[in-house]
Amino acid sequence: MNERQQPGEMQPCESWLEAISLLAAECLTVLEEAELREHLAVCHACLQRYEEIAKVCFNVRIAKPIVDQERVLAMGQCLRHLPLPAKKVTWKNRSVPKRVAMLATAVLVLVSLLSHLASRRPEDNPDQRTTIVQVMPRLAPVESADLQLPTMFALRRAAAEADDTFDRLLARYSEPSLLEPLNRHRFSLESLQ
Amino acid sequence: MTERKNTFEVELIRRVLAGEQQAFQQIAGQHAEQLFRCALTLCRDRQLAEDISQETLLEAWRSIGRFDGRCRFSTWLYGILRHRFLKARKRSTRRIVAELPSDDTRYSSPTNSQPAADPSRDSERAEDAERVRNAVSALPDEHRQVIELRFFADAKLDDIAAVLDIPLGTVKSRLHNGLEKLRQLNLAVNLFSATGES
Repeated sequence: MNERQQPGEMQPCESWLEAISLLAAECLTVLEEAELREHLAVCHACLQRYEEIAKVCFNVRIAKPIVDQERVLAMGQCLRHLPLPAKKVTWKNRSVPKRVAMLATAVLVLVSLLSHLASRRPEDNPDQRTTIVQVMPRLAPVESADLQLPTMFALRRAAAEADDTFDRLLARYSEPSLLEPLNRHRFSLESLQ
Repeated sequence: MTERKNTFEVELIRRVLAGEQQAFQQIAGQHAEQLFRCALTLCRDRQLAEDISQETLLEAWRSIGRFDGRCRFSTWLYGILRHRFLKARKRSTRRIVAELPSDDTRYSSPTNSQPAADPSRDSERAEDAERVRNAVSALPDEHRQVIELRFFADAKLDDIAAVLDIPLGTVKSRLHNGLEKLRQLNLAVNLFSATGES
């Protein structure tokens, strides 16, 4: 690399520039550092560059901001009562003996076969078919449910056809106890119109 | 020294993998500050950085069984940190501030805060440090992150690569370019007046 430097020129060698910065930042390996120091011993421009960068590094290093150690310690507070990490048991590093594993597999196969036999559907054998629903419950109208009121729409249509007033028809088809909620309903319907 | 530290860490990890909680606390204590500084570099929000660091440690504890030792423990942690950061950024409605809070004294004082013989010189140093931090903050994000991770969080190059999810070569070139920009800035504007080294 020395050959690249022109005699009398104060520019540092281009190929060493990055290494010079890394040396100043203490990021070179022992071998790399030795190689560069050999070069610095003979190249004044590179040495000067190294000194300048080293000053920058020194000043940046001492400008390192302070960290509140109490807060850093507080970060570790949560680690005091940590639960143990759950160990994942993988099949690869299993601790179950092979013989036990095979026996367990055989038992599983047997159980699944038996359960299959036991759960056969009765439709397969018509003699064993059982009646699930024997009597269907009969639905009958309740007496009290007969008391039904005509819908508001029907009343309104009837009032229009019979040249009668809606209120009169409503009173006719309604019982006094049921009239009140219907009236409320009517008001709401009328307000909508 | 580094080798002894690594051996100690390997021993700790072995104990952690055996389910020893105390060993994990010890190892978490060693990395908590670095993780916090890294998180702060990434999100630039102190509270969010604390949350992310804590979540990283919890996640590390939960999935310690998956650490296979192919990389350094710190690199593995930084990988988790990055994942947590991306997750937090997605879910958080909190604004990621562009600048560090200047009124927050916890992050505005230099580390070398030993009592100085000359108080005026001490204040000059503090001003220098503030100027340097501002200069670093003013760098483009890609350079700022690498410089802050290297010098403020003391992260190694491969750790930085893990945190930023970029190749090692890119980390090197960004570090070089960032330092070069600071060098040029120092030549143009005297950044380090108190140290008398510019």
